[in-house]
Amino acid sequence: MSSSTTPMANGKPMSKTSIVFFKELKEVLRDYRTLIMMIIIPTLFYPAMLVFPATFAKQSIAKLGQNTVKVGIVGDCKPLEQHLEAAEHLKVIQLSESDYREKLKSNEVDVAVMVPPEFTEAISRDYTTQQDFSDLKKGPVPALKLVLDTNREKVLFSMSNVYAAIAEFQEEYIKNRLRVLDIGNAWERETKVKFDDVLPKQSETDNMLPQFAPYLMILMVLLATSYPAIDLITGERQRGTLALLLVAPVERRSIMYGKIIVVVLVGLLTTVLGVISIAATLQFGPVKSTVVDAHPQFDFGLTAWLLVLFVMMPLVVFISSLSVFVAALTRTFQQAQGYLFPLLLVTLFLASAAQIPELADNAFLKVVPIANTTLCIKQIITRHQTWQGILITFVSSTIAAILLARSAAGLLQREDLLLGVQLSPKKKMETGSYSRELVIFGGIVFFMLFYFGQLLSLWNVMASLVITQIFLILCPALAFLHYTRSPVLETLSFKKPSPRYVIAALALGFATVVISMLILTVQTKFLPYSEAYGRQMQLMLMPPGRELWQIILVAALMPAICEEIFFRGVLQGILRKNLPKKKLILVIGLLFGVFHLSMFRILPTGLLGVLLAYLTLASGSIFPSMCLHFMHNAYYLWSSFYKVDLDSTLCISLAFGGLVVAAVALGWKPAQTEEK
Amino acid sequence: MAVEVKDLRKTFFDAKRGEFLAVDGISFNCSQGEIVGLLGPNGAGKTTTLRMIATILRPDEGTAKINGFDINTDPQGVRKNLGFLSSETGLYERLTPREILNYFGQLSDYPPDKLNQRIEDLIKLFEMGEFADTRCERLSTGMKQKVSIARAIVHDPPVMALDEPTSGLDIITSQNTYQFIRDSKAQGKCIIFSTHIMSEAEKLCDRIGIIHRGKLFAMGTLEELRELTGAHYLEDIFLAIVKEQVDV
Repeated sequence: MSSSTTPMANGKPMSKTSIVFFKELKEVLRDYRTLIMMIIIPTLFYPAMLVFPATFAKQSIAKLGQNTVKVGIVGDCKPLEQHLEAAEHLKVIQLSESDYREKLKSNEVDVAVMVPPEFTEAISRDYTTQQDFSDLKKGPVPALKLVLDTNREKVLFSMSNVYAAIAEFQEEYIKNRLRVLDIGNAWERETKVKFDDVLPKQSETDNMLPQFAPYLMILMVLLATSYPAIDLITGERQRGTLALLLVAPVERRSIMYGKIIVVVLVGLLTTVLGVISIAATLQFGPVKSTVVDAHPQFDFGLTAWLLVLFVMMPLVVFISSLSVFVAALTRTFQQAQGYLFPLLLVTLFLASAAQIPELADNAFLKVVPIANTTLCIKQIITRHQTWQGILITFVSSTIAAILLARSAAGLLQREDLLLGVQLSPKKKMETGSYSRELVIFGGIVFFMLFYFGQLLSLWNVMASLVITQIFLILCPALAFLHYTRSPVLETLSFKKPSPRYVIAALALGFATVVISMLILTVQTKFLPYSEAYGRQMQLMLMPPGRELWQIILVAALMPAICEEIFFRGVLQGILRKNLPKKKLILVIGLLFGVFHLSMFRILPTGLLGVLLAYLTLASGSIFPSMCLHFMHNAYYLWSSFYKVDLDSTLCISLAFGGLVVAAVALGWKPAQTEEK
Repeated sequence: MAVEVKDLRKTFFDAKRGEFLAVDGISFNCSQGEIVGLLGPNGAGKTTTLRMIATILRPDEGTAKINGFDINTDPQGVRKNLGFLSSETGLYERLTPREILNYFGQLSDYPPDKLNQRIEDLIKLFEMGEFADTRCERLSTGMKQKVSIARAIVHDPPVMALDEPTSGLDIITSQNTYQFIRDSKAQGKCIIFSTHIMSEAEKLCDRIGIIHRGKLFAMGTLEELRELTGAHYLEDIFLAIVKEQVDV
């Protein structure tokens, strides 16, 4: 039997990861549920989802077109009346100004055509006198107004006959006359605009496709990968086979990687099949005429689909790792299914970010996994993609996917997850095993900032700053501190600092502003500011009608307290148990940069974060970093308020002076005696 | 000594009890060709002890050496020398017994050129020929138990850790397990097994350790334990030891 051959591949012994991989693959391929999700759903279900509603809607609209529409005419215009009467599927009823609303409400008529006397007058002219022409020049001929109950969907869909008849009337009675006078086009434009206004937006359902397609793709991957992930990880635990694997001489990471690769493979196959079948359906299926041909502005060509596949690749790895990650946290199938729903919500929530124009403008979105891919797929279909956009999406998703896969692979080391062994809060704190809670906490705060913070700032900049600082940063930080039952003063490094650190912090305030500006200047050459970001920053730095002191209070003092307690207090206080010093400082700095929600600020703000984290760690106190944070923000606001030229020799000299003072203050004693 | 367990400790936490010692300084030895039983009620710490010996859990303190390999410093060495079987362990339902044996043989670094022969031998030994290529989901409990045992020893380990291997099995299936344990002893393997069934311990074990609330209260042959307590039946011995220790 082939399955019991020795573990040799090309003469070399197989790695443990590939042994696990081939075994898992065999198991997955023998599971009909995975096969259904992986092959049947993408090849049949998704195309059917595209075809059936569209075909059904088309047929039903066609059928509704056969219904007789009762058209009431308010006003006196015999030619129009005769024309409508002659049209098919229309029944004309004469109405008066006073009763047409009643008749519409009681459904005695489906639509009322309001004919202003000027309209009747205009079309009854023969345009032979000079007066006729000068009247025409005064402005457009008054349009016909259609009144109908838009809640009656059936009426809306059977209106096409009414529009067609009116358009024909226009053609016959008006345009012909004007063409004789060679001014037909002018008339046509005026009236057509009016007609378009009252058209039901039939084409909107088709326009939804670029919005809808990315959701479909992401949903497809998530559904296809979550089942095998649960089966391979949670199932292993529930069936009692995990213990056997753990006592086999295999690195636990190898086991996880073997499994992750299988899940990724399932995800990739599903994606390829899904994209091919959707592309084929659009190209050759019955919806070609209504979707593809009717929308030349959308790109459904081969290159577009290949690009979609390209940006989907890292996303598949990301979502597969996410599924594995979630599965590793669960003990039973039921629990895993319970976790799947929130996962689905978070995924769709992220995907929806790309649909909000204000957020879609945000350059930062391009580095948020799922959201960036959604945006990218949408842009590819609507022909708005840029190579930079695709590249940034691909690279950032790849990095996120690798990081997630790595941390998912480490989960089998965790006894609490493996066997339900719980650690006491005290021990957790001692051993620094709050990483899972920290990730969840950080994730929640980040998304709250991303959505609510940004939405709030659209409403009122100053108020949003206050609310964000207190309720989205300070309160969650303190709540997390309480949850971990950490010693408050020790974790937050609330301790009297040595004065030299305070001196260094004060001296660095102005220098960091100048350095940030210099970094931004260089960075702009590679990463040009987006207009939206410039506008947003402008609003934040100088909200109209505010005094400088008010701005400094809200945008310098509050962040110096709240953000420092969040980053250098809680995060650093808890993470310092897990990470070596250098890594800790870098991680805190990076997080500080990322949490400012802008790609442009990651580098300068991240570097400031590194400095702040160093100050706290070196001094053992949070107060120097609070000082520096306040000074930095305050100088920044002051310089923007008075439009100070930070590139000037004076400013650069002052910054340099500050650096020297700080260096002297920090180097006062040998560094190792201070670091704790 | 094939197995030397020294002062193993493991602390657990739950919301009701807070922190508690699941295993509190357990030490014992087991030599080749010997069967040592850990006898105790549910929650005594037997499973946790065996899991630490099998490197599934890391001890907070203490260590154990399996065939000379330390569980803390060389878990991979331990795993190569240890066969683990528990009543809770299952099988891959969508694989056949042959595929399962092959998988674990490969993972355990069994010499690739000898693995096929080893699998054939095991299939013959446990009379699995008829169902060796049938998916495990279609096997009876007895058949599955045979596969589980064969799976545990596919890499021919010198030490076996058996965690309540017969719990939930009927008499006939249990007999197969007993026979396997006796055969292993005859082959010079070192066997540590946990149980809460007194008769099982009486019948199989060379030495019996009485475990209660994470502590190993006594360890010796049945005769030694009888002398110690003056009781004859293991049940009475157990109660006498546990009562005495808990009262103190």
